[in-house]
Amino acid sequence: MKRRILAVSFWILVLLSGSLAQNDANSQTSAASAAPPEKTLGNYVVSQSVEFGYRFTDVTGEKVSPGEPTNLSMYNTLVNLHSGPRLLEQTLSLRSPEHTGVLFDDLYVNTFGFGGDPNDVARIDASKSGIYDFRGLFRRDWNFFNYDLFVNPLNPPTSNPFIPITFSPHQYNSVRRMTDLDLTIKPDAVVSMRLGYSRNTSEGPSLTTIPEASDAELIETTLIQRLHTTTDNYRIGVDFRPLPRTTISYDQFVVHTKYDTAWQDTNFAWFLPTGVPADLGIVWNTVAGWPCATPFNPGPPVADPTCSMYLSYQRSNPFRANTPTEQLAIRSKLLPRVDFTGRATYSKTSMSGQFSDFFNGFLPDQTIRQFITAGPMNAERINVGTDAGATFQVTTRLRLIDQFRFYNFRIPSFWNSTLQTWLGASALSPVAPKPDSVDNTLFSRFLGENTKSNEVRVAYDISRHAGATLGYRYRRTTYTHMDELNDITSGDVETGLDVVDVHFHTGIVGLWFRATDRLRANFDAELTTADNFLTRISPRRSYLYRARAQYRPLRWVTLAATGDVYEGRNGIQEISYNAHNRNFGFTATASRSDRLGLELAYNFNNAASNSFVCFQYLASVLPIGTGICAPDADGGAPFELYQTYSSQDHYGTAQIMAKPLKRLTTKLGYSIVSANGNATILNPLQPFGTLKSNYHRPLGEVDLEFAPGWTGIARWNYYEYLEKTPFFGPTAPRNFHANLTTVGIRYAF
Amino acid sequence: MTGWWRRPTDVSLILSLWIAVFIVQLRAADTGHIESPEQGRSSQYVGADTCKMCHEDVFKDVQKTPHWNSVLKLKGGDKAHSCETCHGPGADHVSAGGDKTKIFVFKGASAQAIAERCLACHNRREEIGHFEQSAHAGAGVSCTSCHSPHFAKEPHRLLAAKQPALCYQCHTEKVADFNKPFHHRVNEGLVRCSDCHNPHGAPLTRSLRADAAADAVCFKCHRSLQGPFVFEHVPVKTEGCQACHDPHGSINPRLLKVNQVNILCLQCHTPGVTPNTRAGEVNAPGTPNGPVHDQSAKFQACTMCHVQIHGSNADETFMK
Repeated sequence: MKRRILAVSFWILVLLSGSLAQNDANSQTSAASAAPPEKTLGNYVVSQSVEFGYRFTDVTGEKVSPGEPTNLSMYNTLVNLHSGPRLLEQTLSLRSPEHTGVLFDDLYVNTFGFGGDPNDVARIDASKSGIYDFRGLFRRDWNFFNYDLFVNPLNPPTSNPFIPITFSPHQYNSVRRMTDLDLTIKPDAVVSMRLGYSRNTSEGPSLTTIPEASDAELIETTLIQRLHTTTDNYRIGVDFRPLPRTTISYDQFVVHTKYDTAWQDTNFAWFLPTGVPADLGIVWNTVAGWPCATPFNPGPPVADPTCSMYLSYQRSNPFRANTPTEQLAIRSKLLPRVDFTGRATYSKTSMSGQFSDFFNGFLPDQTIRQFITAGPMNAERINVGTDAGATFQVTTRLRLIDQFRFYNFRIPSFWNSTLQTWLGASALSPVAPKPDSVDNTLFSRFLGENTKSNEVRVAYDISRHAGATLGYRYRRTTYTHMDELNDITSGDVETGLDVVDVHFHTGIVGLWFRATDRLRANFDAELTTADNFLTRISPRRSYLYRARAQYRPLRWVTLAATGDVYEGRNGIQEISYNAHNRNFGFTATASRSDRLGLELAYNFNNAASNSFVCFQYLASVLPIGTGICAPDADGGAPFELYQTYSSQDHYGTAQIMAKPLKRLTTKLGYSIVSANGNATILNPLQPFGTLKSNYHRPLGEVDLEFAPGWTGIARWNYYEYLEKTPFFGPTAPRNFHANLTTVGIRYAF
Repeated sequence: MTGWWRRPTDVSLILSLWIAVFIVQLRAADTGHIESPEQGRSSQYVGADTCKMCHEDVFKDVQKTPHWNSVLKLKGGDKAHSCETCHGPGADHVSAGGDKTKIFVFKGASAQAIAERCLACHNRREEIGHFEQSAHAGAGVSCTSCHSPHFAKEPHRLLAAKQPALCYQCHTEKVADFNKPFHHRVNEGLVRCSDCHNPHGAPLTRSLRADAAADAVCFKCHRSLQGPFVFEHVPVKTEGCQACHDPHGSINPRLLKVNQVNILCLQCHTPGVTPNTRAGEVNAPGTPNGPVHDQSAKFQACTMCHVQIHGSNADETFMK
């Protein structure tokens, strides 16, 4: 009874007390993180705060099978916040009120997430008035992805043996580090200079897959993919203001990228009769012959040497890409009634590298015992672009706006491939010193796009409270794709050239309305038609309608609503592509003082994507509605179905913040994403997964300033992911529940 | 006649528009500038100290901002008229006892008038160069809708609120997107709306940024997918990432537009009589005709085999 009273008292306290803040446990600010107090230190007004804490994470959920540890994969994919000490947030602000600082007038440093959270950010802004302006940003994000339904082979129970795959063969556990540094020297002078440097590194282990052999005796295995990509971006630019209200800029960018990702098969769970480790892959469907009808002889773990298998596989594809870019830009309001901006860029990326992969094993359909593929490759991407925009103030109420864009890129590429193949009767066959065949092939490709577009709009301010825009956008895009295959060994040459020309016409309508400062609304629509298309899902008709309204009935109450509707169509009979995304939502915030705040939001999103698709299907029972597809030269996709995908997602959130006492801040909130979708399922073992799911996230927080400058923080976050259908197929359940409790101290000084 | 001037194409259309624009400009040059309130009335400036007498709180707040140096302090030169640089000459306002109609008040002013005031100085940076052509300007959103020169909650760029809360005030539908199970980490503070969009406008639709080489902004972070590759998956470079992905957030893994990868692939890789068909083929030019693999027992993701779907250097079917 006492505990219940205490619990009820706690929640009443929470409800009565707290600021609206972000919803996630890894949001970087606590409810009470108002601006820290300011102190004067020499020439500077200083304020700083630091927030340390410890997070306790408890994840439970449906286990893969009794006795196995709880499946953390989905939690890590969606949340990935774990136990441990954390630097929750730190800020430092130095400001020289008289702008008389020696090195800087303003310095702002903000960091959060350090200590093991997946998102770590450090930001530093420093400036000396009129001398320099510096921005520094470091971001580290940990990408964990193991949604086990993604790229799952859905091994059927009819296979012997039946080996379900309970992880995603394309899982990631990588880290990206991004640094951006920008310095502007003499930002307000006639000539100012900009220097910049950015670095982006992505590295870490991940899984990928590789298939070998034909559909009849396919083997597909996972490879360890050691990601390693580094990009260095150097920038230098100068702004020159030769005339009043006119700036001419020249920028030079140099981007250098190193791709050093390597792949290797380390998945040897079985053995040949000789004891050599063998990999039979992750696709187990012995009825279909994958990796073969009888993988084990005499029985597991001894693999049949005539079955498809890997004994060794490794691949490397290191390449380098350099992209120098030049940009000339002008912005001017020199001419009366005219605002003009223009830019021209030229860049050329040069990529070159080597590819090699090595396979040792056995592929029975072609009796391949070993192969090596190797050769140099290179590609370029040349881009020429210009854009210009001008606003002409015809009268005080009427404006003519014109925007022109020219965009042209071309990517010529080349690969000189040499394939050496060794044949054998089984995985036990010895590999001869010389290959049985050597095939040299030259691949050439060309991809180009040439786009010119012009948009003209007439904007008219009907009054101070309303305005309208009417416009037209014309775009012409020409795509060119060429491929050439020159088999040096056989002398065969294949070439192909495709050119697609598309003309787009778009009508634009816009209205805005501002009755008072408290009520404003706007509506805009874009209606586009195209006379051609590049892909089947490139709409030939698209309609975009957007409406927004914001109303502040009281100084402390804000209501907002939006409607955003997109419709895309390609009405050609064989395609009948029909897609839409209809979104409607509202938010309401009320904060009469810094002692009480309320936030409510609801959003409904209805998405669909439907079209005729043709496919191969060998099961005896066809999906309902299946017909016969138009004849295909390859004869590979005989069945036709009007495929449908739809999702209806509801998002709702409510948060209340209250501050019942001067030193006590509390917050309570809840949010839900409820997905109710449906889709054509071709593989009967395919679960719906997130398409039919609920994602609940309640939270609570109490902050108590127990001494001047010292605030104790107690934060609770709960995450619950539940799929609405009990069918998980041959995959591990993804449902989870997680309690996160964070206790910390914030010191502002 | 088959000359380019006879074709209803871009060149003629664009040329005629620019000629029209030039004529308008000439007319404007003939009649001079649009008169701004302060022109020709330089003697009516009263100075910051006078403003401070009634608006001390505002004066102190401005003192904390970069505007202090450019407009309040005399470093701004003869043209720096302190508060009156933005609000216009204040003599009439003062003599009328603080009559708000005698001075430019941003609150209640039209978006165009506000933009004109701010851009008089802030048109220098390329970041802001497209504002007058932007969607925000077209929708009546002014500089002060997002920036608060006097009472900024976010010192960086004098924003009225921090991102993403600032953007969510109008773009409420994005609140839902960034709360979906799979989303870009905007709420977490890792990514900002302005990393991908330029709120001041850009030549691309939706005010999307592009990298220096005019490639998609997505590649700034997802660098390994940019290439160029020997074998490009054409739509990645021509249609953009959003052909397959919902960039803000999705209930589907990898921010995909649909829940099954094979359905996504089949939508394009299906035979069908289309224009521009290469001789002997029955699909959009160059598009593979569609999978010959059994969809009843085969994998639900084509990318299980076609793993390098964004582009490959060694396999035209993107398997390596």
